[in-house]
Amino acid sequence: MNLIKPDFTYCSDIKLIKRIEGSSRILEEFPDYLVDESRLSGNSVETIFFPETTSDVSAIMRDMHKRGLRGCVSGARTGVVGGAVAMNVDCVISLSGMNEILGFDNKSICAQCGVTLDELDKHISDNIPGMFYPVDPTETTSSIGGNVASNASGARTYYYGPTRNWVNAITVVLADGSVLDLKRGDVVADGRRFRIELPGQPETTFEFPNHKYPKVKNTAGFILAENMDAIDLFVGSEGILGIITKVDLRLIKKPSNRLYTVIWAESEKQSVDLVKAIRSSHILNMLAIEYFSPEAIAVLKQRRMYEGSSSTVAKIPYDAIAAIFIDCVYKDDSELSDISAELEIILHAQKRSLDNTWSGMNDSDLKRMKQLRHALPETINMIITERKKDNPNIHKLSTDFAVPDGMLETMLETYHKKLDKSGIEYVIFGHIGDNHLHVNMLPKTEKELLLAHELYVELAKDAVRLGGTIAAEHGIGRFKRHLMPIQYPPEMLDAMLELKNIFDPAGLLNPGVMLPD
Amino acid sequence: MKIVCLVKEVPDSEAKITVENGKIKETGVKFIVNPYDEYGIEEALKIKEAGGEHQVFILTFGTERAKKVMESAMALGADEGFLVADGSAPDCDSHTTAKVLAAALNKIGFDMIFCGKQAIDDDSSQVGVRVAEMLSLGHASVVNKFELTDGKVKVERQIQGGQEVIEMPVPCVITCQKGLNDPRYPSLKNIMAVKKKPRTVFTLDDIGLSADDVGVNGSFVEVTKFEPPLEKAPGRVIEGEPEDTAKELIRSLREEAKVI
Ligand SMILES: Cc1cc2nc3c(=O)[nH]c(=O)nc-3n(C[C@H](O)[C@H](O)[C@H](O)COP(=O)(O)OP(=O)(O)OC[C@H]3O[C@@H](n4cnc5c(N)ncnc54)[C@H](O)[C@@H]3O)c2cc1C
Repeated sequence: MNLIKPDFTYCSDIKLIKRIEGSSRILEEFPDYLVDESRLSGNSVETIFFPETTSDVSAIMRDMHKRGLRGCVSGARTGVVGGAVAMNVDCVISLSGMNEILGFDNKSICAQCGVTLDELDKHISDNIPGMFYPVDPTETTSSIGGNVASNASGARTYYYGPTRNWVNAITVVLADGSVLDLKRGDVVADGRRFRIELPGQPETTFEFPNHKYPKVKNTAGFILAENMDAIDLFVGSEGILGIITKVDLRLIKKPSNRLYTVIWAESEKQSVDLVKAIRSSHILNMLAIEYFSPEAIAVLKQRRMYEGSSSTVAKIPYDAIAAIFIDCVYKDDSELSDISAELEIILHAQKRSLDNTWSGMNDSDLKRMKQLRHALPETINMIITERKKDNPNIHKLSTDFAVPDGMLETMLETYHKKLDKSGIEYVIFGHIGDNHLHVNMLPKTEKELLLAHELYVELAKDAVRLGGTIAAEHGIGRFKRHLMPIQYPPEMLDAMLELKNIFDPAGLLNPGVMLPD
Repeated sequence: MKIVCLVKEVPDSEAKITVENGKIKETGVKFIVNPYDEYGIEEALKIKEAGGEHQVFILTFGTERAKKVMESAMALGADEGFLVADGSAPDCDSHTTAKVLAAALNKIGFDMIFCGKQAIDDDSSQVGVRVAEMLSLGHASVVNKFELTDGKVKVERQIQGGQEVIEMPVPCVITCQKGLNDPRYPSLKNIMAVKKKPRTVFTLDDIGLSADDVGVNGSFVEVTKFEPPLEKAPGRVIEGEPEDTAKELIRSLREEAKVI
């Protein structure tokens, strides 16, 4: 069946829904609800709603729809692209109070959208032994609704894919307050066509063009594919089609034996060669492959030198110039021996040995290694904070591009060539297994800041030219709308806009997010 | 020199500890090398790497399960591992634990002994010093600087208002504090090499002790029960006019929380 048909179900009394009112009071006492981690500044609003159920959200949307009010859909506000910033809106719908686990069995869990990843993990480990939710966006205080709305991914996406792959079912409240329950497999496009029937409206057809999406993880705009599931219209929709209130997620058996290893490399080229060898090995079962560039290692070494042995940054071997981190699954001791032998061969081919590794099998080992990874953005932010003292306009620019297998080296070469020429300080790190590296540009002056913005667009074009994406995991939000035409031809952008107009013709939900004007 | 590092098996600092019927529930908990013991192992390895005829031994007292932790400790680069395995280990107090370790040390021989300043599970901070006393050795605890020259040890420890410097001959016992060094991470090579190194498991009998010496029988202290820390009570919002809320706040801090 290809008919998407929401209903008006039970809706709460709007007067009874928790809220904070008054734009000046909100600005003074609750400014945090107006921004997300992008630190983009928005405007204040008349009302912040705190719904607790799907019926509450339905009541809010019905009321807003009647009055033509625009709203900002706000999860845990950890987004970095400005999706949950109150900008050109009349109210904020904060989903932070919708944090109940609604049910679970031994292979799935159903939660309200405001449940955080930390809470979800805790609930699973307390109640569903041996199982886990495998997607691991670094920010564990993010909400599961936000994760679904932005199709979040993490290091382990290399093996398990993005959030999308784990969503069994969702409940969405649309702009008119109607409610849509979608279970994977129930509503599927007929080729490239959905029929949509909103309450009190004639049926419409949404037909989309054939488009070849990049073969990489991708959160830029809607992913419209032949015979797609209607759920996937909403996964990654960044709150512009509806408010996801309830999510049913698939769980998987937690791999019990894990080997975590940092491999210290002598150069970037050696790291890339190691990654290629690791990826093509049939013996290694990798959940994640992460990268620290020479610039990243230098930043960490510097911090360590500055802070001494009390630093949270471990002492990095002096001959280490770059590093990769791998998270590997094994069944038993004999498989562990095989893995070690395989890594020895791979390292030997690069004139390195197993001596150039740090390894461990426990959670505390993982934590120590993760500390290195966490210390990196932390240190970068410290550097930027210092620069802001001289010039408050200064901020870092972080890319989120990914390119297909085979284009990794070309992309890295491009990064270095253009960034070195610009003179802007930069650090590269991230999900190298997925050819998805974050370039952090750290401008020192206003002039460099301007240059960094220009360079950002140029690098986005390069990524797309190499068959990649402008937004692999963070989404588009308000920050990257101007980049959408780089990745999509006009007919695709038109189709995305048409989809938005069918579900939210008045533009009440997250105006200014994802789609270019 | 035979350098012996005492290593205790403790729950992973990342583990979630639950208490059931007054006992710690161990299912699902992973066990690790006591982090403070790693400073001792590092110091021992540094002595060895500086040159000379040295061997680094790991000595652990625990149940059979502790073999894994002994091996993890060996993976840092030690030459040989010893485990005194006995089911009574969890019921042993510091005195009994030290008795077992001292007996094992006598069996394997030693020229220098390192251990952590305390174990992160029971925080007793006594075992190293008790071992030294039982073996009539000099000791220094909570050490953050160590030097070995011509068979003489010079250590420093932080005390109120400054550093204390102690010199003594080897053999002696040093309990190690954070800051002493940077414990290394095991390399995959050393992890895999452990299986090829000598690992000995002693019974009590092997070290000349019997069931009467250990566990509840040999201990002065008996742990009667464990209790989880109190759950944090939810916060309370006091509403009303400032004069009333201030009064109510003072009253509840004084009468309910009893903090003023
Ligand atoms: C330090 C740090 C590290 C990060 N690492 C990663 C990472 O590894 N991978 C990754 O993918 N992201 C990462 N992020 C970005 C962010 O955590 C994710 O995008 C996350 O999914 C956002 O969830 P949230 O609940 O905070 O959503 P918000 O920031 O509140 O919102 C994000 C977007 O989703 C919409 N939205 C939120 N909830 C709903 C809902 N219930 N229904 C409909 N729309 C909704 C909002 O309107 C907005 O457009 C990181 C952020 C930080 C600060």
